[in-house]
Amino acid sequence: MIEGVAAALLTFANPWILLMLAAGVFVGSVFSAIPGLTSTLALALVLPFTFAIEATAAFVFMIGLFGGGLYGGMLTAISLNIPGAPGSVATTFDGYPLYKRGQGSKAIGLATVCSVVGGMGSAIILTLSAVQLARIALRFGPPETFALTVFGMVAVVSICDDAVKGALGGLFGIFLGIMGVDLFGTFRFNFGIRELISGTPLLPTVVGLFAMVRVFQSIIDRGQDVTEPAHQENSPRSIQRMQLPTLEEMKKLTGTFIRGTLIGTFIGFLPGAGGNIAAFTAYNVEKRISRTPHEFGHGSLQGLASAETANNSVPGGALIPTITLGIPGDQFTAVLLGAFLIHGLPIGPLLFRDHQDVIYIIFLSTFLMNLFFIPIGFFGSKPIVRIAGTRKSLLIPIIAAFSLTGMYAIATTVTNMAIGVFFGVLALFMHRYGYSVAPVILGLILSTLIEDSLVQSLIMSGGSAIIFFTRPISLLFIALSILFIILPALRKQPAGSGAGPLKG
Amino acid sequence: MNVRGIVGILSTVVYLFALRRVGFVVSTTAILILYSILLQNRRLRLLDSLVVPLVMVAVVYLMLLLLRVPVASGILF
Repeated sequence: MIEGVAAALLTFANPWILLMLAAGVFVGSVFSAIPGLTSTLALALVLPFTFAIEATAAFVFMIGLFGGGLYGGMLTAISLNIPGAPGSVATTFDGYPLYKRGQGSKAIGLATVCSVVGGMGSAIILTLSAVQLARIALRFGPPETFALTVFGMVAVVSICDDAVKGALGGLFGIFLGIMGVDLFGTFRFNFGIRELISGTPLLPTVVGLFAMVRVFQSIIDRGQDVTEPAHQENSPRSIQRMQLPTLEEMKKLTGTFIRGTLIGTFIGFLPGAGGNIAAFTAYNVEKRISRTPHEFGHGSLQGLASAETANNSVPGGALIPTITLGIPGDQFTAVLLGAFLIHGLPIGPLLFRDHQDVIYIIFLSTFLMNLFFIPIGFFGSKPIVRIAGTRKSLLIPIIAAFSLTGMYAIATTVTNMAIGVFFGVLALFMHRYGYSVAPVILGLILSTLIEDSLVQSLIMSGGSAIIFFTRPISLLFIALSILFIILPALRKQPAGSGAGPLKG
Repeated sequence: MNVRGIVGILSTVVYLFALRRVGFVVSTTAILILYSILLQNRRLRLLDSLVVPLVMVAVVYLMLLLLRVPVASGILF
């Protein structure tokens, strides 16, 4: 492990790689600060262009986007009371009251320090635990791999608002993935379309489902500006330069930092549970054990620190199952898995076995990206909040230009663009009728692995499915899958509580 | 789905057909201008309707040139 980290450190001696990491963090922060835009959308937009740069720089940039995507939402949450990203909702509870009291700079400073501490803590946990988990995962044979991929699908589907709709989305994704040619060279499901012989192309599908849908949705909403009313009240000009917390305050909040990091990393590890659940959980825990619970919601530094530390600890946790097992923690990591495939890397345990160089660069990126939050907090908070207030009629054509050009640049064919536009329109209807797009992407990504491992397992057992129940690890994942199906059905949902992490 | 949405989607389909025939620069400029107009509420702003689409087409055209991606050239450009 030490050799791997040392080799990755040498990579970061290259200023170009550091620049790409900084650029990723900045772009991610900008996208997450703008309500309605997400770091997943940013990833979908830049993915087609990452072919032009070496894979290392591309992955460093993408990891930067992940971290920035969780950090930037805090800027508008504190200064405008509008959480740019779902993970920043809990930040508004105490961040905005502090801002109204004239302590906005202090709130941004504390939130930045919490982001750095939480992010670095979770990166260390990621490095230490992923290596151990990967060692176990490398012993997996086809039956274990099949059971694991099924569990990955079930886990993501089970946290959708509507599990049945999630399952349908997942099956649709698998169907898209098995289009083209089967394992024995027979054409299937290509409907006579020559371009579909090689299957559903992943990149235009990602751009369509995450970017083109945003363009069409904004046109339907007539470019409604969510940020405009708040801007009338709070001008970004009133935001002062970030002010770091004192050592005394940091000492008082040490316990909060540790608890926030552990909660955020653990929740990030769970499939589908993102920054919003981590921040809310840490906030509630802190409020329960605080000596001053009455201050929570009225500008409590402890409340703000708990929410932000947990929110920014999510990447480390989410990357553990993503990298070692090929199970994504959320939409961003689902698309990130797609990026591995697009750049010719395997997903799951094989990634660890065959591409350790990339793995350690990802680990180190997850750690180092947090350092860039400090200059962004000092110099970028004002411009980012100003950009967040930009009219949608200015922003959306920029997204459209990159989406259309990106889809064209992949293979210089209009067919790819047509596929992207088709999935953009499809996602529009999926959102309208309460279907999440994450299971579709996951189904598309995992379909080959599911089919290959199933066929290999059945060949091993002479066609008997009993093989999945006679091997302990395979049986464990099947039992977990059944548990994930049964538990949500048993849990009584209060009326109107439909805010699951994979809503639309 | 409202009229704006239908116009936006149909015009994107027309854009896909026009790309090879009219050329990347002209057709992309046209679709971005149309998107900008569809996105505006009351009065049209020159910056949103014309300047941003033109600048964006210039940016992506340069990007494609830098990436050495052959740009679809039709009867115009």
